[in-house]
Amino acid sequence: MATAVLVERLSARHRVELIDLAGFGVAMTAAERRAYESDEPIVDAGVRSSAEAVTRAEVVAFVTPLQSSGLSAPVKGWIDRVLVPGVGFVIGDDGRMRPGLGHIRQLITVSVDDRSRLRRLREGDSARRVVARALRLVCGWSTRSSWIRIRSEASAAEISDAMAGAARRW
Amino acid sequence: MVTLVYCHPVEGSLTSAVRDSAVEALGGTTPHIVDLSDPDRDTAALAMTDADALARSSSLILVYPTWWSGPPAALQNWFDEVWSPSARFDTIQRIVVCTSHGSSKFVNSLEGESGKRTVSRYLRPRCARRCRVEWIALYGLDRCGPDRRARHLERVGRRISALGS
Repeated sequence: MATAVLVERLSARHRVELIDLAGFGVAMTAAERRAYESDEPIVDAGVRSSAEAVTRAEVVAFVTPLQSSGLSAPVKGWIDRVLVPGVGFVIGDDGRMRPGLGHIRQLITVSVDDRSRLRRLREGDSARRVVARALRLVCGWSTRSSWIRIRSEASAAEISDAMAGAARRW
Repeated sequence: MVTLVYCHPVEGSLTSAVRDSAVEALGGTTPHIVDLSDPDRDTAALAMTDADALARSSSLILVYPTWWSGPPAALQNWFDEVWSPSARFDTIQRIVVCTSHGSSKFVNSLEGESGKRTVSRYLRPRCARRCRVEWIALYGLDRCGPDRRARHLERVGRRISALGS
């Protein structure tokens, strides 16, 4: 439901491409890891279509449940497998890494998270760091990151309210 | 008992060499190995087996590459399946993390070292009260020569063989 509400909000100003991670392999395969440092790091059709979508995108949004302190495995798997050299970043002739997602202005994460504030603070909220810091490093510091947390039993109206403040910038 | 979790898709990688050094350094102790590199492994189905092994382990060794500041998705998946919010492993006195980072320590500090936080703030509080985390990391792997790799392997061996003492 959170996805539907988010798509509706974003559709007012953007053309939305929806990627469903059901069936998307979580782990990077041996073939992918071997190809990672080659000129053709993408070997899977699903990964390729995601990579093309990211290359076209101005906004990247994730909708995911969170239960441990890191990102959920499907989203982390998508980041691991899709944002390979040539997509997420570029390795120059000098071996240095350069950002590859400079065209992305906004990152949005809608986390379905029932943990208390205390527990989130205690556990370190690693998921947020992966998006707001590691991913933003390959976008640029002027890229904004919105983090919207909703409860799993939230109604559509509550979800919409939770997004209202941040959505003015999208 | 020792549980060793290995997570890298390619045999022959630095991470697989680190795993071999760690196993060798354990000497007579044969660890329970959780091999997340096997694409056919059903982590959800084996969660109970792994939890049983953890409940009898005094040390947990995690061997993985750091990708996007944290553990690979397959390891994250293992955390979600085995380390449920209610799970506790009171026998674990030591968590040893052997990891490598493609980029420099500076870039990783900008990225927020989320993997370190997951281990020390999500896993450790579920272990024994005085459980310690040992962090053995190699930074700047993308531009690192064979001598630094060899030193890293040596360091892994040295620190893991000191575990028992």
